[in-house]
Parts: sequence; structure tokens; C-alpha cells
Amino acid sequence: MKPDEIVAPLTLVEVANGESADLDTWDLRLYVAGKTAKSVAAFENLSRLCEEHLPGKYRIEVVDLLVHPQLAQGDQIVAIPTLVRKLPSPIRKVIGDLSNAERTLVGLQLRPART
Amino acid sequence: MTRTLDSPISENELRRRLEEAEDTIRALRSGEADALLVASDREQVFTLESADKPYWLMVGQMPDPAAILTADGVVLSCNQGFANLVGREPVRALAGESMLSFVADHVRPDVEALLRSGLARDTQGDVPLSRPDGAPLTAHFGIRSLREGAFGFCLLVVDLTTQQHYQELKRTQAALRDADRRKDEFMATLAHELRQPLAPMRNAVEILKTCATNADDLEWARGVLDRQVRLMTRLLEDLLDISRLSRQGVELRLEPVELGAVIEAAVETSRPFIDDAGLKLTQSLPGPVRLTADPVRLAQVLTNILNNAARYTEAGGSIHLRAEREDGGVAVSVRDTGVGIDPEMLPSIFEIYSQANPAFTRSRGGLGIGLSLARGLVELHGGTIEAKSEGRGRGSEFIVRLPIAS
Repeated sequence: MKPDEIVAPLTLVEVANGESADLDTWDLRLYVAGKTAKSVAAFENLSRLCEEHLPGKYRIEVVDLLVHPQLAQGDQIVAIPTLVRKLPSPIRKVIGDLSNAERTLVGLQLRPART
Repeated sequence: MTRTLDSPISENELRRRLEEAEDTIRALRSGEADALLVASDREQVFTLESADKPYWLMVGQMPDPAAILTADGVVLSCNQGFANLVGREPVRALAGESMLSFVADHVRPDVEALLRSGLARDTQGDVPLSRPDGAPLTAHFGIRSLREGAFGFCLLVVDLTTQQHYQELKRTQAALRDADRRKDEFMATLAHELRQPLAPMRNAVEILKTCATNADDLEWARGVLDRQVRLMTRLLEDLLDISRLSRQGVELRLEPVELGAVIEAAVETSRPFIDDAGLKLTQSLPGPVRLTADPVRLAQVLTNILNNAARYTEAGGSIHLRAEREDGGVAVSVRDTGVGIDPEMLPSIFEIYSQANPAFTRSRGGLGIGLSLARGLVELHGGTIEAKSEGRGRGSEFIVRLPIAS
């Protein structure tokens, strides 16, 4: 990482596709710490996968732990970026920059794991 | 990694939590994620990156190029100095590029060998590179082996050109200071030389003022005035010539000349000095040699060399003038049995204001610009002048080489 990538932390951003409070809506939370290359990549990868597999029924909330450190505790975040599926339950976590689409989809249970 | 479990816990939940822990470790190992620590008061989080931030800032601000490379020489990260060195922007676009792609073909094997030996142990070496603008650059590579993880080396480059430039400036400064000192000495010599003839001239004028009728006294006064005026004229002519030469103000009147005639003219002019110094002059000349030259200036060159030989040779010594044909030219050599030249003085003997020993020169007269003048005039003729001496007390030899017109 280069120094210029560490500045300007993301604030709590809500990215919704419009419809909310729907029972079908996937509630996703992406934990990052500052605007790093990995967190930017994770957000871009996630948005793309959601548009492709969950069009019209997802909500992404980006939590910057540099700004809201206390939020790390609730979801027991030990690495960043970490994606947490809040809804539908049960809670699922995918750790990393989500560059591996297959693994991310399996982690989110959007696709059954290959055996 | 350990984490506390809230018991009791279902088998499914246990499995999910363990899978999550495994996934975390995988993501950390592959570099997809960074470990995160939460401070006990939960007011602050830390990652390696934030912990590294001060070091990155430091490395980033460093003007010297620095990069971390894989064992294969691929750039993992680098600073702005490195990007400047290889002439590429932006810094982050350099990640993934091979170090070898930044160097010219002919130095690639050297750099490759350096990196290979750096894999085993810390190593260093100088590599000739070129700047983005094409200017040559000597780079000192310091390679520190990073044995752990995916990293191969840490590469630090020091631009030696800056240091070389600094050394050069220091040398120039020393040379300028030296030239300044010699100019001061020259001014002192000049004042002394110009005042020297005034005392006898004043005496002669006093004699004339007394309206002496004694023929011997009148003859003596006329002789003194004549000699001293001549001496001062010669001094001033030399001074004017040297200043013309340094301003490229001398124009040669080239014509076909016979070398023997030029030598004869020079010897004739120098003869009184050689005789006064009590020296013996011998000559050995080849057959007719025709040159295209300015006969007056060429004679001036040889006169200056002969006078110089006379000035620095003790009475009873000898001067030998020899001319011989060489490949495409002619060499005129003047060898004396005089005081010789210290080896350290040889390179600067033709420099303007250069004097082997000002005090010694003063006692013999002259400004010490004769040789400088000779070199300037020889070079105007497309020739060279060289001084040789085996050292103090071993005599000197001056050789003038001139091209022969084809």
C-alpha cells in the first residue's frame, strides 16, 4: 500500500438500490478500515456480484472502522475487508477483497458449494 | 487464531465458526485481507497498514529510489524516487513490472546477476543506467535479502551522479581558487617587471638633465633608454598578445614558409639572451621543410621557448635545437641542461600565469606568460606543444609539432 491510499477514510455509506425494508432484501455490510486498494476492490466486486445475482433486492452498507471503531465488536471483525450478510439469516461472513467471485457466491450461499 | 465461544453451541454453529476462522486465515495468507486489532477501549482499530503508515510516509518522502521486489525481480511496491528513476508514472502502476524491463539491454545481465546474488545474501554494486531524458547515470544498488514471505529483496538505489557532480564542482572550485591565486602572483610579478626598467631610465634622464657634454655619458644614457624601452615594449607586447589570444583576437597570416628561415629568425632574436646567460646553442636541422604558417608568429613561438630555456639554464649550460620530420608533420625540439621541471608542475606549465618559482623567475626577468603564448599560437597553427623533464636539475625539453601542408 502506498501512503496516498491511506488518507481520506470512507465514512459510513449507505448504498441501496431503492427498495428497502422488504423481507426479500439482502442486507449486506462491508467492513473496511480506510480507503485502501483492497477495500475499494471489495466494494466494486460486491456491487458487481449483487447487480448480477440480486438485482433490485440488496442493500450494501460500508462501515469504515477508522471512523466507527466501536462497530468492529458487534460482528467480531478480525480482518478487513470483511463482508457480513446480516439478512437473510443466518449471518454469513466472507473475508477478503471478494476478487474470487465463485468463493464469494458460495460464502453468501448464492450458489451451493461444489463437492 | 483463538476466539472465545459462547457455550452451549450447536454443531452447525461450531462448524460455521470454524469455517469462518479458516477463511480468515486463508484471506490473510493470500493477501486479500489485512488483520485488524481493536483497542481495548474500542475507540481505535489498527491494521498493519496503519501501523506501517509512518514508515511508508518516510520511504515515500525519501529522494533515493527504493523498491521491494519478488525473488524473480518483479516490483511489489516502490516509492516516488524509484518511479522518477525509471521515468514512469504513477507509482502504483509499477507494481507487477519486472525490474529488468527498466534497464537497457546491455546492462540487463549485470542487473540480473546482482539480483541473483542478492537472493543469497545482502549485496551491492554500481550499475550504469540512463535517466528518462537519456542522460547517463551511475546508480549504486544496495540489495537486502528478505528471506520471509513472498518478498525477495529490498532494493535501495543511490544516484552516484550527484556525488560525482559534487566532486567535480569541488575540483572546479579548487582550480578557480588556484587560478585566482596565480593571477595575484602574476599581478605582483607584472608590477615588479614594469617598475624594473624605470630606475635605470630615471638615472639616464638625470644624466641628460645635467646637460653633460661628456660623450661617453650621453652614449651610456642613450643605450640605457634604448634597452629599457625595448624591454618594456616586449613586456607589453606579450601582455597584449596573451589577452588577444584569450579573446580569440589573434589572426594568423598564413603563407608558405621554409622552416629553416623561421628557426633562423627566432635564433637571431633570442641570441642576445642566450649569450647573456652564458649558454651554448647547437642546432641540427633536416633538409628543407615547407609549412603553411604565419612566419612572424611561429618565430615568436620558438623565441619564447628559447628564451625560456635561457632563463632557466645556469651559465655554462647548453641548449640544443633540433628539427625533424615526423608522420605528416615536423617536430621542433628545444632541449636544455637547466633546472628542469618538477613532475607535478608539468601538467600546468603552459597555463597562463603559471610559474615554477616566482621568486626565481623574478631574478631572471620575464612575466612567465611566454609558454602560454607559445601554446596558444601553436594550437592556432593546428599543432601541439609538449613539455618533458626528468625532474628538478635534469633539464627540460619542449617539443612543438606542426602539420606539414600537403
